[in-house]
Amino acid sequence: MSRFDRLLLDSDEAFANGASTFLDAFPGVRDPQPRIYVKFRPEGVEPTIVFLALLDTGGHFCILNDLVANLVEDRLGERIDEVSLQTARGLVRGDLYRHRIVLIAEKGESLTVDSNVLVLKDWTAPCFIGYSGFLDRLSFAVDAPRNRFYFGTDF
Amino acid sequence: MPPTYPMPTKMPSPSRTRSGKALIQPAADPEAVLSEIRRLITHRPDRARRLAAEAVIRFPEHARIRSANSVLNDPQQPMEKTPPEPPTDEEFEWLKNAPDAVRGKWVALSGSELLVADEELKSLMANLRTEYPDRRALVHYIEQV
Repeated sequence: MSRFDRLLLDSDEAFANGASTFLDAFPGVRDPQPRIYVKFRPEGVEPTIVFLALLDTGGHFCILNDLVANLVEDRLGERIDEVSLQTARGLVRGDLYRHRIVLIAEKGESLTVDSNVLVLKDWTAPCFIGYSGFLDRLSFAVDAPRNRFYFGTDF
Repeated sequence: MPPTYPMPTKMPSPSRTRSGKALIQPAADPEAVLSEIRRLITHRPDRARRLAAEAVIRFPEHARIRSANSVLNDPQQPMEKTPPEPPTDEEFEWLKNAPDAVRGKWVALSGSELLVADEELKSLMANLRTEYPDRRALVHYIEQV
């Protein structure tokens, strides 16, 4: 157990509910710059399945490509409207929904967050965990040398 | 002793700007307000939230404005906490060294074992359900580079 596990997760004063290892680089994306990929699952997908999403503290929303979203299509939550978003891959349009996303922990507890989710067609980049409506509801920390992501909530 | 300041007894109304001015004009059209909320969502989400909060008071019967306000200002459903899941260190190692043969495909990994690779996520999931119904799997798309 690392010192940060003790401080952030296991002490009486700890803020985190869960911790997970993140992946910070792999050649499976067009843009191979270092990023933080965390484990998640849209609610409604089998609990044996794990997906990776890019943690994007500058991102407006969580982004799912429509293929992943289609796996839970009949359980996808409330749709607000069509939204345009400027991304590193150009201007994209998608549908904004409300859906619950499971942030998966290896230690402590996983958290299911009621989130704003933008569903994009023909989006081959990774899914994104964004700020508004998701990360802005959590406390979180990154232990970069150990590739550990800590997250928690007071709710 | 440091000076003390009275605590505010009421938060500023979300329907007003900092100057206290309403965001929505008296004769505003709800569809135009909804379009403005939509436009602001990706540029000024804070302002979109305030506008949606004011709009739902002005146009309480407008279903899409109610929906917009619900999405933007009511994300406070309690979070659910569930048990932790097994680590995926072996899957991560596999992904770091993914072979060229899986580029442009979805892969399903269990430990260091590649269960399924398929160009279509839907058929990959169908295959997982029939061939490996109880196996945990990390599913990810390997882009063409």
